[in-house]
Amino acid sequence: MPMMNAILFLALKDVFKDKKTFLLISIAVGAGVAIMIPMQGLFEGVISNLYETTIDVATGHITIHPEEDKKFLENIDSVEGKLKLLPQIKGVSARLTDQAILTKKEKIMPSPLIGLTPSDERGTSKISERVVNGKFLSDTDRKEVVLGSVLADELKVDTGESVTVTFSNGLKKDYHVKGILKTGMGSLDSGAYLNKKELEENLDAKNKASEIIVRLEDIQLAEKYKVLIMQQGINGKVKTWEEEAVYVKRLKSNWVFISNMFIILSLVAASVSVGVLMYTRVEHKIREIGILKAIGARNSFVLKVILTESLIFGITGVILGSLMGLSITKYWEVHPIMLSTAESNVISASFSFYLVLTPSIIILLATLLAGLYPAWRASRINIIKAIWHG
Amino acid sequence: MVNIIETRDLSKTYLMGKVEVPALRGVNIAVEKGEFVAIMGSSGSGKSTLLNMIGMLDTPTSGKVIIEGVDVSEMDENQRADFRLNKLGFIFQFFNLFMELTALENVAFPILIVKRKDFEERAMRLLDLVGLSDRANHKPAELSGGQQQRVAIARALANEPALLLADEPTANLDTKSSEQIIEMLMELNKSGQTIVMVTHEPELGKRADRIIWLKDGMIKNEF
Repeated sequence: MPMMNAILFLALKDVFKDKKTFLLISIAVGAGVAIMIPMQGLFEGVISNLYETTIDVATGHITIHPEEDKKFLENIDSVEGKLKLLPQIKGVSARLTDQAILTKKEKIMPSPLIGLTPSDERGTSKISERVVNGKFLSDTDRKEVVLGSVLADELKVDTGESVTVTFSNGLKKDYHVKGILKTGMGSLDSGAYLNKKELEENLDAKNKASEIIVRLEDIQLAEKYKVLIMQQGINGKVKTWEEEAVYVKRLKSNWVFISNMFIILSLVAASVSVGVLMYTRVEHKIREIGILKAIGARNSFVLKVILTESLIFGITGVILGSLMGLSITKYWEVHPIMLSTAESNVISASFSFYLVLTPSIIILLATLLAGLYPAWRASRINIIKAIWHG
Repeated sequence: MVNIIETRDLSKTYLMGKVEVPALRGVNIAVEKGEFVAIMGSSGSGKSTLLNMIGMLDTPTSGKVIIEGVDVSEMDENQRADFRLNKLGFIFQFFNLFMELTALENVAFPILIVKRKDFEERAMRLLDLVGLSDRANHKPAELSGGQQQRVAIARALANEPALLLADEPTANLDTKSSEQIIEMLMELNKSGQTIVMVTHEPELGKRADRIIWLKDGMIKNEF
């Protein structure tokens, strides 16, 4: 019989006296953890996926826009040249945008028009990899257009067919649909894509751009490179991907709010179930508590025994729940949840051992809080009534 | 001889709804060190109440209880608990062992509370004293009534109490086991242990040095 604290000794003996009950209670406690971990994992995964998609197809790591009073960035060749000289810059792509109207037979759709240089784009974004039908543009394409999937659906047009593009300056031209892409971002999937040189000519905007996106070797360098780029004397507003993807930030804070609500509810649910459990256990141990006090245990001793039992259930529950929760999260990381048959409509979880932290603390707190009232009640039991109980 | 227990005008009244029920009325007793005293009386005479007062399991309505010269009637809960742990040993009618602990663990537990490092050795010695060292690793459910009561005696002796209090220790035992228990108590008394025992069995009462007879919460006789 090892020397150990009397409180811990009695608590352990009592908790483990019926192993089946102990396991069932621990699983019940652990269920809360097991639910919270994959929820957190999915949430982290969704946000991570959103950021990744945003960076991959829309913003890069850094975006340069014209100043407030200007429509375009000027002398793009020179700007791109300066940027490409900086170390750790993986790719630079200038984009020219216009508002156009696309027509196919009777179907008319207003649409953003994006002019880009395919070879630059390939080094900077993954938009060219999002083609679901046909092919992406090449540097020599002038009569070709790639449509976003939403736009293609609205116009009821497929690859190989042609559409008429009316530019903002009234110029009309026909283009051959070379490919259809799907990024998962509504604004890009509603757009049409042309070779930048073609758009420059049509808009008389040579050597100009509406934005420049920059991809870095390491995303962590974004803040640093924002400052560095601003120091190059480029006339434009420089933003990091985080500053650019405000909608993702907003979504994240909404998710955090929902997640916190869920955590509070889980805490309440866990506290109630453990509280009921411990209350029932105390009711079944009244005589034992009376004996304990009769042989000389203080009220505080009794209180600590009950709280320790509560904590033991909490710790075991956390361990079991963490194992279950992490397994589910890992599974969802490797086998993302398909929301529809579209490849981009999946949610995958983001696995990390840190996911265990918050749920574990919450459940442990819940078990302690829940054990408080039953423990206090037990400590106040009248010895004589208790000894004669049952 | 030194008095180990004294009660002075000890009274206890219980409130049953709106009715006051006097369980003890002005009881004055004294027990000397090394005495074996039996408290007897019919059901409702107050004998268990008197034992509970002496054992500090309950507090008097008025009067004093003095144990080893200390007035314990004014102590707070923690002081009473500590006093019970270090100075008193209890033997109950229904044994009142912890069912999930072995015989050894039941005896060792009070010693573990006071954090003595030799808790296991001392517990084994006590089990040996009551003739149960071979059943040390058995739980109460695996022991007979008599054996359980012997474990309870060993537990009561765990912290070398000044006073052993036994409440109907043989009421739940057969004749043979009862005899074993009373013999054990008498042996302990011979070695100097002060014992106060509540019993309703005259044959047991006769084995004590002195009988205090209660009726209606008052001492009727002492002999």
